[in-house]
Amino acid sequence: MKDITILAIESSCDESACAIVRNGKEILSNVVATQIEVHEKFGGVLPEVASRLHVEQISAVIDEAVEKAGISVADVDAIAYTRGPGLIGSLHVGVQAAKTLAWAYHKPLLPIHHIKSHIFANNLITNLKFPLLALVVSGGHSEIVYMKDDNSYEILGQTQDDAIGEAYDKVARVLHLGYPGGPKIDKLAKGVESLYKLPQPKTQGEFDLSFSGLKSGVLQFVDRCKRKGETYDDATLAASFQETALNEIMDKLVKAIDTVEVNQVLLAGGVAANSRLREKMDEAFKDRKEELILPPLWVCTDNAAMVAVAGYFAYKNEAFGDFSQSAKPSLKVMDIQK
Amino acid sequence: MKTLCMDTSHRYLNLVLMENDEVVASYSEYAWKKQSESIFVELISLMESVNWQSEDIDEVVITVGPGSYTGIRIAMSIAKVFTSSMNKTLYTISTLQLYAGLDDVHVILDARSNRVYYGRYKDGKMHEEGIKTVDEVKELGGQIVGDASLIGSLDIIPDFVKNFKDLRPFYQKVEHIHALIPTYLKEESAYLK
Ligand SMILES: [Zn+2]
Repeated sequence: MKDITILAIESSCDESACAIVRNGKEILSNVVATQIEVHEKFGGVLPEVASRLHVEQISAVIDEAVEKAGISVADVDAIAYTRGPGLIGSLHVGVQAAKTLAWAYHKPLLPIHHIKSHIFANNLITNLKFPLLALVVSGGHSEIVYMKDDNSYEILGQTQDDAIGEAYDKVARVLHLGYPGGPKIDKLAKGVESLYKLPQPKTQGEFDLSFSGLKSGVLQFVDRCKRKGETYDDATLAASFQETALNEIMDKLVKAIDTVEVNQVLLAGGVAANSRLREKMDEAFKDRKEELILPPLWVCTDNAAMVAVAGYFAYKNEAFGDFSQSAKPSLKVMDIQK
Repeated sequence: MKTLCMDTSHRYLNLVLMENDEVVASYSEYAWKKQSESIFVELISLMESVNWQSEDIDEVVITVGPGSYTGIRIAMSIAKVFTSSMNKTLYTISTLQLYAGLDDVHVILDARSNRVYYGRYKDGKMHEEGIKTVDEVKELGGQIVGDASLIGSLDIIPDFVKNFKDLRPFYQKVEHIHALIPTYLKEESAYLK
């Protein structure tokens, strides 16, 4: 079979990235220009700052990816890019860059949904076996997704308010841990018992998630302690928040999996790096027949290789886009599914 | 010598194709916040009208601002990626300069919050560029180009196509394409809040 080589661009949030991947598997290059240091300074991602860095970095990132891959853009089969969801100003830069390459080198365009990319990223370390269930947890998303095959996508449950990563960031701010909050809370809570009682999330849908009540619960807990002149232990509070949040996720995931027949369960998105979540996943799937895939950190964080993998499947499914399609910050999978 | 000029930095989408400094095709339409989705559609049809291929283009000219933050980045993203990847020459001019052309004028473009991006130009040369309040520009004598409705007159829209062509001697060559960034003019604090 003929090789399919995809050049992909990702700029949905705070990473300008370009990668070239062959057959959805073989990474020829994977360049990420992270903005994390700048955003750390501001305590979060400021959209205008992120957009400025993208336009600054994009051409150099593409050149480096092409050079490292040792091929020419003329040799690739298609240009994939993240169309959404994400920050509008950031997305614009990547979308224009992708269209430029497609126009300049006469290549087809593949608009890709960011969350699909996170799931498909697992194909870089294993062979995806459909049907599968994916738990997507990141700074912007918290979803339980069922995929019958490589061209279908069904959201079984999703957050009704904050994404899990957002909740981590906000609680980290209360504890003066800095940004990004996920890894910092994870580290502080390691091996610490969760002793403080925090409100249990309540949701409408059976498999839906919610984190805003829990986040407010943490704020109220801190306020109450201050008012009463009581002290509390930061690590215990971090552990209590983390246990409540992750138990909510695991509870819904295990309920959801009993309603579908799947071969694999995958973890995806930046929060997949959380060590406590990985422990809980291991524990929950120890005695189950479904294969559990816990990807390494480099597969979980935003990069363009994952967009190239999703692009490979989109190419096979002929889900091509056109030059009139613009960035869509609240893109739904249905919008580009074919 | 084939030249592509692009401006997406304010309320218009301006595209000009020139061959040996003569305009062979152009597109100039009001496109406030629509530049991102329309630029390639219009560029492709313009290229087809003169039977050019992307690789035929030798050089690109863009405006670098000041103007709409999102707008400036559209043409700049395209120009940076195209010229660096395809080994073409990139030139820039100021957005205010494009509005002025070779005329003896004050250019004012809406910078919101009762302020304007202000440029004082004569014979293509810049005498002043910066931020002014709307009240300050009301005091100016002479001819005004741009968002004159801010000071109670009618907006004066220049001939962008002619100006792109006339300003050829003022194009600034970009030596390090990857390092090119927009001219935002406004101080950092304006968007950090
Ligand atoms: Zn992501």
